[in-house]
Amino acid sequence: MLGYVKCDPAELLVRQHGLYRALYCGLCRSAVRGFGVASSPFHSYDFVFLAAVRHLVLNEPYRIERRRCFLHPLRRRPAAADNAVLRDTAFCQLLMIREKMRDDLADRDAPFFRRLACRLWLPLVLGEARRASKKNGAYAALSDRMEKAFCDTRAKEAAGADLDCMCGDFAGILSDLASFGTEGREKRLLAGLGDKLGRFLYTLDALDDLEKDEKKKAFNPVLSACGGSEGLREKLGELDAVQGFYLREMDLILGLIDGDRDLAAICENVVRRGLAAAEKRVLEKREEKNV
Amino acid sequence: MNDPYQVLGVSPDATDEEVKKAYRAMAKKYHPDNYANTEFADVANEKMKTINEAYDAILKERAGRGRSGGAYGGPNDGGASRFPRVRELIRAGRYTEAEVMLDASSDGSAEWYYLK
Repeated sequence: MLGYVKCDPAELLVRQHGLYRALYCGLCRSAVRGFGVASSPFHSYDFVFLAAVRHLVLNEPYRIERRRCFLHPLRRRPAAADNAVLRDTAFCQLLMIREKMRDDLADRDAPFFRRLACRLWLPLVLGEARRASKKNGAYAALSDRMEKAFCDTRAKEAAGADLDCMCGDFAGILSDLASFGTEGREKRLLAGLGDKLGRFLYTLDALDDLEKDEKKKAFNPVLSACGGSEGLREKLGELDAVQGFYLREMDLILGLIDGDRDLAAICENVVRRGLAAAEKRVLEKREEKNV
Repeated sequence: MNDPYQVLGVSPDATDEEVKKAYRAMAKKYHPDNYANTEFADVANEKMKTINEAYDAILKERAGRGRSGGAYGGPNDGGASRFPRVRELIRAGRYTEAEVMLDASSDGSAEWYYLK
């Protein structure tokens, strides 16, 4: 479910794309400084969107510094300075990486080397999450909630729950992560955004895995909802419409948030362009296979 | 209240037409109908209220700057109004609808210009 939440750089101003990349670098730095290096190899742009949205909603000021890192040791690159929003988002990313590794380990159809890498790396991730939770009670509570939520989700997938149920569960997870540490109006906005994003991403991931799951006869909630691959072609139009609805809802929520214009532009770009393009790619890939 | 010009996203030097255009664009974006079936209808209503207050504040400020005194009095200043519905809409903060009604019946009277 990671890898879909990206911007469309061609439609961002140069300074906005620079800010987007600075947030990416800043998030990695905050993760390494706050928790350790375990999440660095799996760092992705998905949580950059979360960091941008949280900065926007909470009106948290940011500062861009020029820094080197172990991947770019020669030239200094712009990176957002560490702050509370980046640290909290980095912890959310660490938890998602932990749960994804657990999922991959539990998936007997996953490639051997991926499972081996998870087996070797997961203890590092677990150690970092545990140490961070010991120092911060709110982190500990979030970690426990995520563990339970993902455990419930795996059990429901194993039992073959329907698409709405699975989307609702994942929406709850992302809603909790997005609104972590907030209250009142900010919590409602972030939770609402996380909810719609979670539903969109779960369905998109299921659509993307259709062919693989069909071959391995593995559980896929979209296949179940369509009654098999025969009913899929008719249902694809409906699914596309529902996905469009989630994107519009996210856009409406973003419209209610006042704040830094560059951050707002980045968030709108990710929702209107990046996510829409990701969905289009997945559906076109599916249509090519059918043809 | 925040700076009304900042709320509408215009500069303080903007013309009346530019302010009106910005207000209409924001009213269209945050109209309660757009959020009627969502969980954020109340947030949108609050936003709409802020926008209406900002527009109202700018109009009052500019009217105060341009007033030369002795003009048509207040809404309850003697005599029957020829535009009671328009006055109701203005009191309710529904300026766009009031303006549409006024444009539809441009009789050039003093009251018309006052309400405009």
